[in-house]
Amino acid sequence: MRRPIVLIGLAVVACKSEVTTTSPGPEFVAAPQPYQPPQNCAPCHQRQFDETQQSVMSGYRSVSPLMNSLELAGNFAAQAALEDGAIGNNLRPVYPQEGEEGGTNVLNSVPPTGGDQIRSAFCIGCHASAAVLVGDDPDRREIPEWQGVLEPEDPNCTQTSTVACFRRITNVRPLRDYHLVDANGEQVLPEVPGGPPPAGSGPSLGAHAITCDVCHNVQGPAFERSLAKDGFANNALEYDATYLKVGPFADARPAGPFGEEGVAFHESSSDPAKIDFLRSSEFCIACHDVRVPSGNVIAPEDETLPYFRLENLGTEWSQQAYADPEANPFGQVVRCQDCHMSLYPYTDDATYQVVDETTGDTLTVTGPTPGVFAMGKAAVGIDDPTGRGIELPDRPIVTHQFTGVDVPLLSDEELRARLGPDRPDTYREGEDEFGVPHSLETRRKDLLDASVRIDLSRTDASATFGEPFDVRVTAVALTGHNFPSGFSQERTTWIELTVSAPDANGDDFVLYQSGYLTDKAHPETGELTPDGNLDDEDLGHLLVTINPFTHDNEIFERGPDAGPLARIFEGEATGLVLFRNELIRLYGPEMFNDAPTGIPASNRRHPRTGELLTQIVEEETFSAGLANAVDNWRALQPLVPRTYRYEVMLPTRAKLASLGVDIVGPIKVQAKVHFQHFPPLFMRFLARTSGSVPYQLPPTDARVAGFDVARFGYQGAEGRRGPADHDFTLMDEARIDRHLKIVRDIATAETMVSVTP
Amino acid sequence: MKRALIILLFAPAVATAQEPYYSGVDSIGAKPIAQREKPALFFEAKVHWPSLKIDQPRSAWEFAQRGMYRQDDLEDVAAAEADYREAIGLDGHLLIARARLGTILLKRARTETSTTTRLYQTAEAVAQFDEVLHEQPFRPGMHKKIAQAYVIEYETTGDGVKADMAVTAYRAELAQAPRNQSVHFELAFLLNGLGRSTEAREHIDRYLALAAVHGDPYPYKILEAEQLRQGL
Repeated sequence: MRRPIVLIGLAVVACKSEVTTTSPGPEFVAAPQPYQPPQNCAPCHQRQFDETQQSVMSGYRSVSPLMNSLELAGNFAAQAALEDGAIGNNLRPVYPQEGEEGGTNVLNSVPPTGGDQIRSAFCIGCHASAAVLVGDDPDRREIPEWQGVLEPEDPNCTQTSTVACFRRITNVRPLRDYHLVDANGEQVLPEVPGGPPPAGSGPSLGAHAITCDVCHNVQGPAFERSLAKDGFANNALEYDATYLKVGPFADARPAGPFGEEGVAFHESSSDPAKIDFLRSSEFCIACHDVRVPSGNVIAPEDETLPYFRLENLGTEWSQQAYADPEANPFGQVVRCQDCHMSLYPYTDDATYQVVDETTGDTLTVTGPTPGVFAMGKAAVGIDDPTGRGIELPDRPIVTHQFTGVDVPLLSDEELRARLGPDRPDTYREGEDEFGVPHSLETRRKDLLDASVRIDLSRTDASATFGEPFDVRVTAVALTGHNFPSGFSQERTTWIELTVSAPDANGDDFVLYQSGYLTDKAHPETGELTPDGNLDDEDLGHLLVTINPFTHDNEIFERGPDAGPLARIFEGEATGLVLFRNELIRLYGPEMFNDAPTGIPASNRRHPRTGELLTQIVEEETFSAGLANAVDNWRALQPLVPRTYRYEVMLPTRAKLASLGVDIVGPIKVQAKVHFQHFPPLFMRFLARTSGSVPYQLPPTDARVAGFDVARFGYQGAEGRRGPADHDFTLMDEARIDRHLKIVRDIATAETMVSVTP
Repeated sequence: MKRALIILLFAPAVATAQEPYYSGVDSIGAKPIAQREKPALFFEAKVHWPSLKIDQPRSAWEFAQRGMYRQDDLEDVAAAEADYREAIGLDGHLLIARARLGTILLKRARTETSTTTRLYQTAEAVAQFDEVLHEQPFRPGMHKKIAQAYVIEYETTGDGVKADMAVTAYRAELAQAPRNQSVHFELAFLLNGLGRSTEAREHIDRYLALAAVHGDPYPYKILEAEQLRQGL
């Protein structure tokens, strides 16, 4: 049972209190303060601390097996170029040498002048920025620069123009190995790379990922450091690590308590520019757009420093309905904080209408109201958080659970082993004082349930056996950004459609289905027979496995539910409707039709046969670092309904009779939207790359004409555990089975269709 | 328990961004394609046409985008066809327009009553798919569509050469995608109709094995396939 809560609307939150501030003014210059582990903030901000512990932003972002294996995969892919000198560094941080001027990584290059600087600390720059920022000081450095090297060639291997001999990458550790300290705060490493944390170890500063200080030391947008000079993406934030913290209140009470030296733990800035920035979407967008530097991009936005938009969430928000008070039903800018740091979706429902611009049809939708905040005190936990006997007022406060679409791919025991024994149960039951569930899984489900609506009312009212009839699913996203968003090329959101009718036996006879899942074996990661689990299955539009050495698709075929490709490229009105965006990789010659293709030299050969190409191969890739382009138009736009047609061919009565089927009732059409936070094929790619299983060639019945075993992967790759020939214990089939859970039925609709013989 | 509904009437819901936004092909927020040097290649993508806020297409890409909107969203196939032809006239390398035009023609041929017109439609469809394959020989689905066009021609004329051409095209698709079960299904029925039962059995067995793992959007096809297999 939820407790009663006081609901305050957006307008109230925006009001300034008349209480006079006693905080330092903007001219106040505070003394430096080292980046603090979050537990140091807990005595006065216990609620916020507890909430962050129930989020994935805190801690999990650093120890995630997916992030760690993906970062390793990116580094492995770059190793040859690194040793050839084609690039100066991979994704690991590069720090300034003593006396060196100019930037060396994504957080200290102002402005970045080349891909090396942006690539350096690219992942960890957002996932655990404090660890990178303090790393400029060699004495406080947690993550060393990359030390991986290719071992010497096997003298028995004969390299040819098309076959590269396998050379193991040695001296490698996943990032999370570095996020462990002993009782004295000294770094300790697992005995073997990727191994379990040493006994008695605990989390380092970097292990805490996005800490209190990362947000509350912020000074403003770093326009010059952002690639498009817009302050968006790749942690384009200005930081200043001092005692003067930036909070949301212009009238913050003075902070305490005073320590032994009479100095408060922090003071609160009253600089309106900083406060307004912290409260804005632009603050979040500094990390929630991700622009990947890549010389592979075809037709980049910026020719001098090419990149593509991997995560485009912030830009999507900034240019669409929720950033424009006249274009959304709430009449005001609805910020990131209004859904992800408020009581949303545990708020009163709002009902409003959206217009399908194509048809003029109006769709009435109902969803939770954003921008509703609880009332409470900003500091709790000790008797006198100001240290001066000042009473703190009740006022609108934000939550710090930051609910999104992820849940940890680690058990609580695994989380505690790396983040400390006090880490709360991720899935614990109950609600907090504001009625918000503790369980991250529950909050994710509830958020997703609020994200999209579907409607079947434009479906043909009647159908005839032996003829096609049209099912039309209208879908509209209620999210502030596109849906799905974030790592939208992996966030798998789709429509399951079932068209059925009762037969003479009283059974539901399925006439058509799309978006269904079947239980399959996955021998490439050790699942030799189907395991009865559908949550670890990919959709039926593609059959794909990815080579862990080359990142090429080693299998890439259309499956029976071929939808996105057939729908977009051929205009077919059938097959899977998938809202997931797509990374694209082009292979081909340098010149085609007397024009330069822009395709990089590394993509001259067919990904499966090794044939030197004279024409173009274009296909989806699941390796962001090797993408040439990205199609980010597949996700739904906020408040813009789209209708997807399925032309369903009904069999004739005679055909059904010949099959022993007698349909006796009307047709039932059911549509459901489901969500899977990563495609299993992507996770299996990472499992193979990070070495959980020895590599095997694709099965013979999946090899295309011209398949060249020698070219496939690297000579001698069979039996190797990824490019490092080592199991980093990050991702494997068991982890996928345990933690990858489809969130089903986040939107549903059903209609009946009469049928004539 | 949630409280009573707040009723807000709101329309229109279409975004009113401060400035036109579209990237052409890569993502919202990127630079408009018109401001860029024309890339040598276009890759598959469909942009939400109303978001482009273009009154009248000028480039091949814009005609193709409007055509896709007309076909998929307005369900105005004739208008879409006109746009695709305009796009191809401006840029013959715009493969998405060719693939879509070919698919429209192939579908139309299936229900065309005039034999002459039907054969014209299939011939033009094959020509469009061939153009796609000329530039992208490994493009999935194109050989299958060519095969389907030849099947129509075979069924229309009874010309065995067309049937052989269909078989060849289906096999070309399978050479690139050996587990494409719908191709195995269609090829098995074609071969059975041609009296080539040994080959038909090979493909229907392959279909049944694949469908047992991957299912079928039309599950009754599995029953059809089993029926065919029993008769072979």
